[in-house]
Amino acid sequence: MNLQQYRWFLVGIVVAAITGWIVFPAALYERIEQPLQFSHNVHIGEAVGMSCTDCHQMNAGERGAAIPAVSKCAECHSEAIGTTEAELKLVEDYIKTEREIPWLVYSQQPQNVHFSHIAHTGRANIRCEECHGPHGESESLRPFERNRISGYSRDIWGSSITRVGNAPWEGKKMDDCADCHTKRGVVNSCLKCHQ
Amino acid sequence: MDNALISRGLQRTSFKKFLLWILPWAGLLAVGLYAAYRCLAYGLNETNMDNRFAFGLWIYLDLTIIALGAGAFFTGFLLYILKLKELKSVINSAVVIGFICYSGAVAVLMVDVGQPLRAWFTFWHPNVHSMLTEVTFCITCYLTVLAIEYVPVILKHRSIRRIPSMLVFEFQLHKLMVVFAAIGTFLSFFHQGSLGGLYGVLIGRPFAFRPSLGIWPSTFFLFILSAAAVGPSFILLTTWLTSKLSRKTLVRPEVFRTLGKISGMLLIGYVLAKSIDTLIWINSTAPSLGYPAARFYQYPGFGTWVLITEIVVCGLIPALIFLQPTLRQKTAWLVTAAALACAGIALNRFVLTVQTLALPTLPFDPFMSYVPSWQETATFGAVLAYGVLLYSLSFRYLNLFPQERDLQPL
Amino acid sequence: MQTNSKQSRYGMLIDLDRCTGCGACMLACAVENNIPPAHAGTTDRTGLTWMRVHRVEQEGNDASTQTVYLPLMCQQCDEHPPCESVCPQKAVEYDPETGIVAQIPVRCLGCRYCMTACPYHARYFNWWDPSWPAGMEKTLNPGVSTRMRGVVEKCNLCHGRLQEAREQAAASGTSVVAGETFVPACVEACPTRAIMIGDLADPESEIARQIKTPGTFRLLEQLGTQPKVYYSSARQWVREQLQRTIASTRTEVLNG
Repeated sequence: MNLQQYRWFLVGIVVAAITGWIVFPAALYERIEQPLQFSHNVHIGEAVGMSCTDCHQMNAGERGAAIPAVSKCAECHSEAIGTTEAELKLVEDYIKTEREIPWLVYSQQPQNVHFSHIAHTGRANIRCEECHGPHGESESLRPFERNRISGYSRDIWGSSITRVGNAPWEGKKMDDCADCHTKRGVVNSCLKCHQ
Repeated sequence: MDNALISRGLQRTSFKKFLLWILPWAGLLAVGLYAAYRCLAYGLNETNMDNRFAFGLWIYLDLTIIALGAGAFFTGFLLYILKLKELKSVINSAVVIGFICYSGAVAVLMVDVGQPLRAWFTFWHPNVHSMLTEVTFCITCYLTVLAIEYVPVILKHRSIRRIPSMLVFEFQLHKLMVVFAAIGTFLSFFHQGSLGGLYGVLIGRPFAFRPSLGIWPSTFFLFILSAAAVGPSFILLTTWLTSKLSRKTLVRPEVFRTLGKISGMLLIGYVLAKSIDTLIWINSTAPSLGYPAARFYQYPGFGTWVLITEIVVCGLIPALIFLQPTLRQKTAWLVTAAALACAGIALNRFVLTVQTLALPTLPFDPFMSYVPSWQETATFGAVLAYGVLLYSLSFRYLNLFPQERDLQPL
Repeated sequence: MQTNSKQSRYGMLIDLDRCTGCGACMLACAVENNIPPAHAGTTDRTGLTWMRVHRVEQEGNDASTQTVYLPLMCQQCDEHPPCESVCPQKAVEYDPETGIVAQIPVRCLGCRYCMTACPYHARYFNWWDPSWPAGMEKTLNPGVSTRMRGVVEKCNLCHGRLQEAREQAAASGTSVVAGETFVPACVEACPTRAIMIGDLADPESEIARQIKTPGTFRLLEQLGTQPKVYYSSARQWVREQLQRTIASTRTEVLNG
């Protein structure tokens, strides 16, 4: 076989592969910084020693992400603790003005999904880490990656565009939910999770 | 003006005259396309369909033109599989008509559904129990087959034959036609049937519901038989009409007789099967669901005359004309019978699509009528115009009737 | 009353002698399920009325003509609903856990085949783009997703409320939904308590006992659709007329 003859064909393959696997995925997501930096690690570390549910309350009727309200922060941060820029911003911009922090929620599901934390943590006894990985030990908040077409968070798909080699907690697509439900013997009817 | 594009040895009318012929049809197509655009852009509130009349003119159109388009698969089946060589003289025309009917039907369906961009869901998440899944799969596959069958007819055009590689391609493709005819026949049997099954499975509509033979309701088999019977009739009718309009002899008279005879034999079988099915329905199926069949015919405009017209006037009578050797000798009789048979199939599809929905099911339901909006009618007209245009262009520039050249007066 | 959600068959029993035809159920249903305000040009045949009260008048030429009001919604046919098997892309689903027949709007192609299959005319098509007057979107129920133009929708027994009831159960560490925590909007809104919800599969439930009493019937039972919505009336003519097939009564619909 004369490679020379297929030169343009091979170039085409390479260009298509780079476009499809690297350029398109990169262009598909826009990166947006969180409105405020936050260290989970500081809060769960020995100095403070909090647990996830101290702030993320998951009661019946609490919908979706269980992101704590700014009043929760104010319980400890009514005055600035320390002098970091984020700390001052929290106190001045949000707590003192009683404004909610417009967090970009990494795991936000579409509107037609009914997700109940309490059913998973309370009833099925699933630990937070099983779905959220080491998020609770993070030092800082990574940028939120928004799909330019669907508007969904990249965490729904997972970090790898091929979905190969994703960590067990990565990816919150419908199939990921369904797989776990199947493993645990939960009936996979549409209305179980859709509204 | 376009003489260089017309097949050698064929006489065609002047370009000016041809233009005058296609212009009104192009106008109708344009209006229809605008109407279809409105439906896609503003939603189906542009139609007069409603929650009771969820299917309207368009579904009726789909069922009818797909039945009439059955001539393509059935002629292919007779020619390539049963080796009925005589039909070689109409196969090209049959393929074009089939392609027109199926592509027209698919186009209208895309306007008819509320979310056309989700059409691929049927392939990705198919519900194998649904007749509509079967219809969707078979029609899209068969439309592809028809497109492939259309290609050699186009490739025979003199401007394309000049390219040597195209000549080879056409020759190779032609050798494969028997395979495509077989695939087409297989696919057609299923979707013609499942179009009938579409209504036969509706347990909630006792007027349409029929018990199953095997896994399909009886309408499945009736639709296959009626489509196969009327397909050759429609080929006969269109060939005659083209011949009249172009003032040319296109095929030998024996071809008409053969088409008529095939139609007649199948039609008599269909009339018999339909009669048995109707008797079973009147005496057993409908009463067992709590609906005496006579009740269905108590509404103005939809009396038993519909049933009689469908089975006797447009079924039995054309069948008898076709099967009577002396009448078959006369083209006028053949054409009359073919027109009746085609009307019969159109009536049958009308009854199933429209009367089924008009009839009440709940004890306090009224009988409901429905008049299509201009947007629906114009879209209907666009399909007709598209068919006439594509057929006219094909007739003018392609060799639809291989016998035409030999039959021309010197 | 406690029901095991694993084998539930949720159904309704509507006491026609109690229904006054006030239409509160229709309104409550529309509010609960995020039904958009009717678009200009909507008729009683193109509206979105998951719950619809029909007026049925007594037949015959008797001077003392009586009227019955009949709330009609998806009859939640059991086992093999006619609409479910016809959908080409599984947008209609029979939930084996609850017996609820669900319509999944984002899966729906809008072919409307299910509407022709339903003998109860309980399915509705979105002929228009849904829209709410400015500010009114704040009143939307977050537990029910809104639908888009070109899809079919229908009653799902206020499934959003069932999900809430399940959450309450989960909070107390169980999957057993207590009967009194799951109450559809129409049941709650009815001022005369004409509508009852319950688990037909639970022989201990109130509804399971009630449907066995004389005077209880279902619509078009002879078709074999096995609806899980029951009706009852002490009036003989009501039972006779509503169990008949094809009649010629004049029908009027409240505010379609």
